[in-house]
Amino acid sequence: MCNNRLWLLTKLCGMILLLAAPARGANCALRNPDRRIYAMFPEATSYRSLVAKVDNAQKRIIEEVLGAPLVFSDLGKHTMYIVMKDAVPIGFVHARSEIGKSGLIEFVWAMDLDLRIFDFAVQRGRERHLEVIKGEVFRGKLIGKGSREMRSLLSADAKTVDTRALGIPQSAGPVAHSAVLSGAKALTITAICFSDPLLKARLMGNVYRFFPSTVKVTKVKAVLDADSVASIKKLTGSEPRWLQPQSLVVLRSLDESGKTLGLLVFCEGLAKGLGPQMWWTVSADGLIREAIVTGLVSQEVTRDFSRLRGKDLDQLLQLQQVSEDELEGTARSGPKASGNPTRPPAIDYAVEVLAILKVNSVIR
Amino acid sequence: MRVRGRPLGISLFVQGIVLMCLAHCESVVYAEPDDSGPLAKDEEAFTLEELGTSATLPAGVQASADKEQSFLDRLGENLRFNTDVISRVWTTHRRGQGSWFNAVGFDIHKVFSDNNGDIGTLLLQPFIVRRDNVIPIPHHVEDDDDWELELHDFYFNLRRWGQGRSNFKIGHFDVPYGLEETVDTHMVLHQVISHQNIGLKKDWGFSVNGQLPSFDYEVSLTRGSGMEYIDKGKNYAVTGRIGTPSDRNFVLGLSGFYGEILGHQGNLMRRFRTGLDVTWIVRQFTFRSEVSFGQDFDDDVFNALAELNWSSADEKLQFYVQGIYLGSEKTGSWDEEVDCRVGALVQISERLAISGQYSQDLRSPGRNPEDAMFSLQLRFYY
Repeated sequence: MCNNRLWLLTKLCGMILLLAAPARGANCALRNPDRRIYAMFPEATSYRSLVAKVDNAQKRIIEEVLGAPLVFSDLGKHTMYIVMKDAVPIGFVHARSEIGKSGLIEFVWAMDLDLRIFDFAVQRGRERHLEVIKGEVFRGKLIGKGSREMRSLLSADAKTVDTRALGIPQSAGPVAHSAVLSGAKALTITAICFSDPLLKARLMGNVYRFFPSTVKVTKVKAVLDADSVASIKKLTGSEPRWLQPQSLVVLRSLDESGKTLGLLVFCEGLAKGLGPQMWWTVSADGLIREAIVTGLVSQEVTRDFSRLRGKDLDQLLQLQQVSEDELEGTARSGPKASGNPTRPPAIDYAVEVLAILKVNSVIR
Repeated sequence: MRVRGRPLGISLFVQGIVLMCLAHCESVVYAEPDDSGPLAKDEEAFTLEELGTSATLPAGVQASADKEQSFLDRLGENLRFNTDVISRVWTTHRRGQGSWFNAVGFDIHKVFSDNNGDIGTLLLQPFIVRRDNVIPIPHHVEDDDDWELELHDFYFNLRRWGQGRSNFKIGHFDVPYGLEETVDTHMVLHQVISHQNIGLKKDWGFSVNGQLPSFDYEVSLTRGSGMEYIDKGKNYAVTGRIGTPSDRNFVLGLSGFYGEILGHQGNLMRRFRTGLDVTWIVRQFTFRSEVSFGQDFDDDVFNALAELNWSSADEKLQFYVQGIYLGSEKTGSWDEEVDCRVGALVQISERLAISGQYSQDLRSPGRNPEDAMFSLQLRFYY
């Protein structure tokens, strides 16, 4: 019996030492999801858990976007919660931990449908100065931030934060850094590792957000094949070149009587990593109601998109013809205006989207 | 290898799970679009079915929307599956020879969801366990030196309604009493006193539990037989705890227990307890304490635990010291048992942990007052 035990122990130890490799099973979960989620989203009626794994391929992309290395506990499986009101997504919650001076600081991040910080809380922390990051001044600096804006609060090497810019005492710098880094990770990891279900949830949520009377949502076929491209060239004078054709999703919002309330269009621009992701609402007669861009884009681009409201394809085509001087103060901020050939103009995106809808007879 | 049957408990539990799975599958696979309006030509209804697919870059929106999932795909959604391998050895000063505990098991955590949100959580922890030279043998173990199937956590917690305020749990789970509710003591040397105090750590049955804005609660009705479902006709346990939220740095809980439970010799024991537990986290230190008053039959009982532990910043290294007092009035005299434990846990990697504990009896009726025990455990979790 003694030999058997020794053999078992030897085998066990050997197996353990062989497999004592870096982390793969780390989980960042809410300790009390019900309390946290319903406190952050009081109007919520349910939530849905999603588990995804941060693997090595995603790790590289996340690190590239963050400009900071991930640690072992960032890898492995993580849970993200889709918060819903009457079965319609209204936001997302993701918990993450950072190592502080006295222990792990567990942050809970609430994000809205545009993947911007909506709320955050410290689930558990042992640090001094936690009250500073719970305070209104610091919260005000983080609420509403998207991935790029959150990253911009960190230094270039992502190892510090500017306490003066954040309006907090210098002594609270380390814990504030943990908070900002955690928020940037939450936004980035959520966007990258949960991208497919996240997008589907955002699509559904945005339909009800922009068309509150929606009763049914249908997926519209809007193809970009050779015939469509030829038709678009005839209509606009150029072929579509800024959109990722396979990213295009068009949803129709219908009311109780089956009447179209409007269209929600999602598409991605030709850029690596996170963005730009564009959300358009278009009326049945082809008028842009909302134009929102998310992902790693600047505030200037965001502003450009907001100026597209109320325009139809004809107006946009006219704007495309206007000289650079006359475009001052309008939505155009493209390669010619900015001198940045990698950033296509918001107006060109809009023309491409409406043209695709028109040649597919989705709008009049 | 011998596998022992637990007919009623398991069959009830399995029936419950099968019904939940059927309800879940039905809602997912056969969901019909509602008929609130006609679909336009060439347009299909857009729903949140098949949401639980994690993504790879670049995000293939169209592809994911069109992708169909099989039943097995859906079963694998939101599933965490881990293997747990444990080897523990301990020896006492008096006996001078080692006792062994080896276990291999699984930790399966699955969240069932549909378009309306989460339905509930299934947690299964089946283990094949072997004890060698263990004294005393736990009452659910028939023979020493043999392999046993043990079902640790083995429950489904229905969380569909009430926004987490009124969940319903069925299966084998932690009895909601004292610090056991706030400390993870699954397969670790670091334990609290549930077993010595109320005689149960986990039990078969059901509970109502929830998280309210200012407190957590759980009330359970269980078989009173512990690890194994054993029906002696009259055995049962009613347990409850209400406490401040367990994720705060200061947690206070009030617990109650009443039942006729199975004792070590298979006899029924009438037991009543009421207790108070506290957890206080200050920087790297955590202070925990639990005190309980009550009766075993008509004998008065007072049990208590106090613990101070320290964790490193990354919480991969932990030291703790515990003092345990177990007192009861028997035949007019007050019997006391005082125990002191010192332990450490080192999380070598996310997969491997090693822990050790030294336990010293300071006062123990009928036993060598200087008896000491040293335990060492390797745990591999992946």
